[in-house]
Amino acid sequence: MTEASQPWGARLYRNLSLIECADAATLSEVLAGVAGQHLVRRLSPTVVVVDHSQHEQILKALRKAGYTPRLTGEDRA
Amino acid sequence: MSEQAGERSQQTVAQERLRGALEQYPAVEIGTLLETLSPGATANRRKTERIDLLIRLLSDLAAARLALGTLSPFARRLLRVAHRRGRLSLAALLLAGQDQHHSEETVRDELQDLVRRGVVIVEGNGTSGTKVPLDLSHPTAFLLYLWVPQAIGEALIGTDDDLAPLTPIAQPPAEVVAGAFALLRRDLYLALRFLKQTGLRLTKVGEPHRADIRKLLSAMQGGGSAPPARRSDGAALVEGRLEFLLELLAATDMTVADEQHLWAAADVDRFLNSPEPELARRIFDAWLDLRWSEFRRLNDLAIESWTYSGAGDLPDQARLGVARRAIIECLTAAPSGWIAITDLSERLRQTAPEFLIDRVPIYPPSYYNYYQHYGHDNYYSSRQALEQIYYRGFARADLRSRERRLRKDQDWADVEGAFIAQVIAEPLSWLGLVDLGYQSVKHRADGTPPQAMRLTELGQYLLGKNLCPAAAVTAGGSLIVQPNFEVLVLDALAHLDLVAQLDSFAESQSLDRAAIYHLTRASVVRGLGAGWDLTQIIEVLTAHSREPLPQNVQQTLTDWTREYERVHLYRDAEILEAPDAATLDRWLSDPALGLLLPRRLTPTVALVRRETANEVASILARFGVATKVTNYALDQPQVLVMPSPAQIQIAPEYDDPYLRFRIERFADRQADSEDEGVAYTVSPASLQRAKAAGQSIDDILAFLGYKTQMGLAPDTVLTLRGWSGFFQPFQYAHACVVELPPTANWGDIVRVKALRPLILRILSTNLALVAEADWPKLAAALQHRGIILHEGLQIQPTMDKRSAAQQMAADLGLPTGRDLLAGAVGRQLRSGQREQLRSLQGSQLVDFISNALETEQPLVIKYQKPNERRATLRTVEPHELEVRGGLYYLHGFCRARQGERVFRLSNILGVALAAE
Repeated sequence: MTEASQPWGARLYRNLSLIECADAATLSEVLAGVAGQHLVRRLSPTVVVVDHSQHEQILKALRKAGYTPRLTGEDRA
Repeated sequence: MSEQAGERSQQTVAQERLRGALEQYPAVEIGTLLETLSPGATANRRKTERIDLLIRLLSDLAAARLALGTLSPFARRLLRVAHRRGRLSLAALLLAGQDQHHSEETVRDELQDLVRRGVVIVEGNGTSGTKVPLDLSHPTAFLLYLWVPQAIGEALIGTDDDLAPLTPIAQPPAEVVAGAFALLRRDLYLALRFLKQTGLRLTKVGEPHRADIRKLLSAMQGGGSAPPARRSDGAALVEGRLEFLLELLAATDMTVADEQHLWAAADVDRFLNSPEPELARRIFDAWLDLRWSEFRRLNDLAIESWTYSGAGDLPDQARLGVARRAIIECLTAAPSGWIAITDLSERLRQTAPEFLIDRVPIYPPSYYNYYQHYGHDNYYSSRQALEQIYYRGFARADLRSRERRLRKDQDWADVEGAFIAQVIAEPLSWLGLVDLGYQSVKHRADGTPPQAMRLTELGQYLLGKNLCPAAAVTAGGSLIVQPNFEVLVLDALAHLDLVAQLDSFAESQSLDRAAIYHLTRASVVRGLGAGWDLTQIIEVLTAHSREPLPQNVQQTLTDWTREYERVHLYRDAEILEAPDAATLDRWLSDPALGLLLPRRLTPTVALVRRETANEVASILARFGVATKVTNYALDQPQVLVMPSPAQIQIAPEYDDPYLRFRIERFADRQADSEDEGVAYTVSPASLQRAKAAGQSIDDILAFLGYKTQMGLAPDTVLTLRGWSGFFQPFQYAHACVVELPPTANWGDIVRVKALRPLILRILSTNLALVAEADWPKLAAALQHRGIILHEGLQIQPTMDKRSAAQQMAADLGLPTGRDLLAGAVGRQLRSGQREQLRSLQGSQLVDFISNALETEQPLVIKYQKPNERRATLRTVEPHELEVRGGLYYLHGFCRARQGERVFRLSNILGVALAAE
């Protein structure tokens, strides 16, 4: 298997923060808040990359808005 | 055959021991003893022959049995006590022998008689060259050791003595505190739960942090009630018990400590859920050698430092283990029922007087040599010997001066007796081995030691007096879930496994015989975060429940779980982006790579399993795919170019969405091409937009300073600050500059009241500003005073001003430092290099200087030490860059100072390459 013919190869991004929602409406709702100010890139209608340096603020804002987000990659839940 | 050989060898050792002791006897005493045991045997025998004969007589078992037959039961008791520990001091035997029928004198006479009969051997304290006095009435004789020959010891087996068995007290105590192992189990569980969730901070010496101890106490009391006040007796008791619990957990390997914290071990649930007898046995065995001192908890004793020879009488950990076992042995021999604690204390005194503290301290032989030098009858030696009758290292807490000292021959009840009561009242009661009996409720409340004790069923089992206690059986389910989300665990201490499961997803309200929990959204989310799912939670609640799970509880749990799954926030996620969906399809179907990509997030993006990014990259490399790795944990510097304050360019190789996101917060994208990268424009409007979004100009400048390849030029900084509205308006007005000749100064003029208001600002001794409107008035006033006015300035550059010494040097044709500096700087100024001085910091400055070192180019630096008022310009030929104590230093030849100099990089305010 070779990918040499592709215009560009793979891109591997490490240590970023992601928000994934159950549906697009929920994501729109989430991005209407603080998380929207830190939106780096939209990957799909339900997945976005957010500013990893603002991870704590985003989490705090989500909780304040009444969400109980599922957390992955936290040292201690 | 080997058994016989062993027996013979044992006999030889015993005979040698006898010989060693008898050789220390005075010759007269040897004769007397031999004559007592075998009348007429002394005739025509020298001392050595007499000793040989005595050894034969004292080693004869038949003769020993005959001799024992002639002794009283009391004498046999003394012999048994002496034989028990192999060797005992006279002081200990005098203490053990005393009872209501035998005074100290009676015991001493009895022992003296035993010594005369040869059934007790006297031994000195190891001092060589001195004979052992056999007179036990001598004031210092209590320091001598007594022991029983082997044959006598063997003959003692099966004989009776006058020690009556312990008897239960006739009247049961009025107030009883039942020993409850369940209580201990609950507290161990609560402590472990705290350690599992929070951990306990440790100080530098490894002790638990006091603030955390208070938190742990609060957690163990259900969180509702506060622990007792710090200095109260209650606090001492509660904290003492907590310390005991923590030591027990450490001794049973249920805690692990790193450098800063104490945590619960991994398999604590298995430990706590083991059957009660098994758990109790493990804890009891741990207590026997526990690193914890009941002795230090005796309130009536004050521990004092002991600086003299020896370690003092404070029992160490090994001795405490011996003492605990002696008490347990005594309890094992006691009958069932209530036993007076004073009776237990007396029994230990009579059978094992040194179970806790030796009566005669072990000193090096040199100590005894010292006092024996003066002879036993000398005042000082007698006094020194008598000092040995006091306990060393502690005293009565409530008295002062000499009265506080405790005597080993008189204060058994206050020391050893109190220790026995302490062991029974605290650890044995806490472990659930004994019930405690008090004279009254008041006595108990006052903290008076208990009057009596009784072994519990568990205690009898652990001491081997009873079979395993029957386990309690709970009928039906042990859980009740109520519609108000309250969860009740019946007989919780018997279901700690269930309690531990509930801890994961419910809020604990209380834990006693029954445990109360509350299901809340936060607690369920916590459980889901810890790996539980809805099915598991409902299964736990229904499997142990007596009734079906209330409908509203089940529905709410489902809603909470659905809500939890709605938004998923990933921290430190790793994703792989493929150029197109078909490529990602192929990668996901690859057996090796597919395993490392657990989920596909979009058609072209997949989530990478944590910490496998390098593995993914290496697999892709094997496929021939060039992988660009962007690690957001590393903020890469010098990736931008700023040709002017208004332009930012990202080179294609550095282009990445996060970098774009950061720039677009204060700049507008202009162009985006694969060959030339992305270009942005910074404008007053874009900077105002950033400001409105909460981004300060300092943040933007710090970002650009770090990210631009050559750092920010001063003009760029000034421009961006200006565009952002950083500066307040600059004020200006038309004014005249007036220069005075060297013969005048502005002080002469402002002293004239009429002229003072006409001067706007004095700039230096010879320069001042005068408002344009005021100048005609000032000019007229000056001319009126005969001062001639010329238009034009003759301001001389400061560099040209010379002191007398510099002038002299110049006259002699020698260069001064200022000349050299002026020359160097002058060149810089002439070539316009001063304009290019850049204020670089940190890694940018290091990189700049490193480049200069590599290309061997001299540098011009603006340098100012913290203690200097002005910066100086230096031209430096760099030789070396050194890192010392976390700081960078530049070594080089300074042309201004004409010598080797060292410059700290943090003092360099500006830097540029010097023109040669």
